[in-house]
Amino acid sequence: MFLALGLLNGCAKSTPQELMLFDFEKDSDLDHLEWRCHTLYSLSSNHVTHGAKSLKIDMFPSDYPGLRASLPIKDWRAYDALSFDIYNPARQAVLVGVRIDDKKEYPKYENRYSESFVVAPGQNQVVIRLKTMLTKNAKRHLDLSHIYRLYIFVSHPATRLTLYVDALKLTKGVSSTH
Amino acid sequence: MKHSILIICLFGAFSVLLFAYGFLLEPYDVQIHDVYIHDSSLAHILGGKVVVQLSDIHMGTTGRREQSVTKILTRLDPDIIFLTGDYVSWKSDYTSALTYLSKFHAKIGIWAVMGDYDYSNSRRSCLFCHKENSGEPSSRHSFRFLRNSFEQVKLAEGSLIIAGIDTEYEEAPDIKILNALNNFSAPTIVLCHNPLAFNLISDKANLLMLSGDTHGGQVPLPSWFWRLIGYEKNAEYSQGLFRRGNKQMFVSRGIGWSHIPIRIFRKPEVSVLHFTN
Repeated sequence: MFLALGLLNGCAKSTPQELMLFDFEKDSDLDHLEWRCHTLYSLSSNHVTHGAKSLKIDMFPSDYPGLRASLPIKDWRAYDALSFDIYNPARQAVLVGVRIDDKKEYPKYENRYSESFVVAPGQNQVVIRLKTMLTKNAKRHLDLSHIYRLYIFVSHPATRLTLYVDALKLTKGVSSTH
Repeated sequence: MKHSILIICLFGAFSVLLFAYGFLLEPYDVQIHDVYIHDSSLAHILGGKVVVQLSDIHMGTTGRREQSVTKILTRLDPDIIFLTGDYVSWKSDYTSALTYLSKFHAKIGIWAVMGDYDYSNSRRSCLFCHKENSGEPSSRHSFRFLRNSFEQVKLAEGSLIIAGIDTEYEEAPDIKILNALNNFSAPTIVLCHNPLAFNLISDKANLLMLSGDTHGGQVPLPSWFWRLIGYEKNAEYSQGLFRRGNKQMFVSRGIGWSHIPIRIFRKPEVSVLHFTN
């Protein structure tokens, strides 16, 4: 009985209610991002929702500038949702794309998760239920045991755009979808 | 029995000498490799000019090998230098490589592309083009880095298009630059670190591609072996000149090494390109 309770307790501890993928607190967090042309990352003290810093993303006119992250945790099966806080300092809404790859070899558009979200001026939270994550051709659910990379991007911005992202995490027991 | 022992001893001594040569001597014996490229339109513009390609320097700090390259460049006094990527060792210090590269000089210009090793520290890779933590252009050097882009260079003899294909993060190259390459009418030189990009360009495109990445294999091994261990680029385009249809490619053995610090019968090279009719 005690052993069983102990095991249950151990299991509960091994998968916490929330798993922070990136909280963008340390300069070394920026080393885990893919740095590409037309996107500049920096830590900021503005628009913070977790800890003391957020990630400021400056995006310059190009095809798909934005946040590109190789993920430290690739097995998402124990969680129900991916969420992140995103602040849009502009006066108008921005259409933000989210791409998630479950294959190491960069899968083609139809074979990866890709959705767009309207980010209103000010603070927003994007929550994506993991069970709803289908590939773009809707033929299969993503393999949650092998999530390789996550992109949060803007398509073909005509002018420089800035967004702030914080608290990129996996959560359990989320019922609503934004 | 005595014969067998003698043969084993001779074989052992030969192997030791060969590996000693491969580890201690050849990697530092930088050669000038004269490459003759038959292309009348490029010859019209670049004939008589000193055009140099350098590839795969893979430097950590400035040592014997890098000093040899500098001496050769000083002697050649090039008009144009093409750099085809892999300037640093895997996740090494970028500062010394940038300091070294910034000393290169060519009368007309220096054009460059990045290699996969240059992206091994993604954040530092930005320093090739920009000041640290800034979108401002780097003031360290005067290279033109071509990242899925091209430039039309006007010389007294005519216009030349210099393009660069970036195989960044091993994702498929930008389709827009590939389409553009297939439609250029002016003489064109394409830089791409990975020679397999040659397969993505139409055979009808009249251009010369310059590549590296393979190091010539560093040691002579058969194509089937490279294919077996997943090195298709070495199996197909280990080193030298290739032609398919109208397009041509030269793959340099490069300067440095990766994985194992050895070169046997694959000397590091500074390639001097001669364009002839």
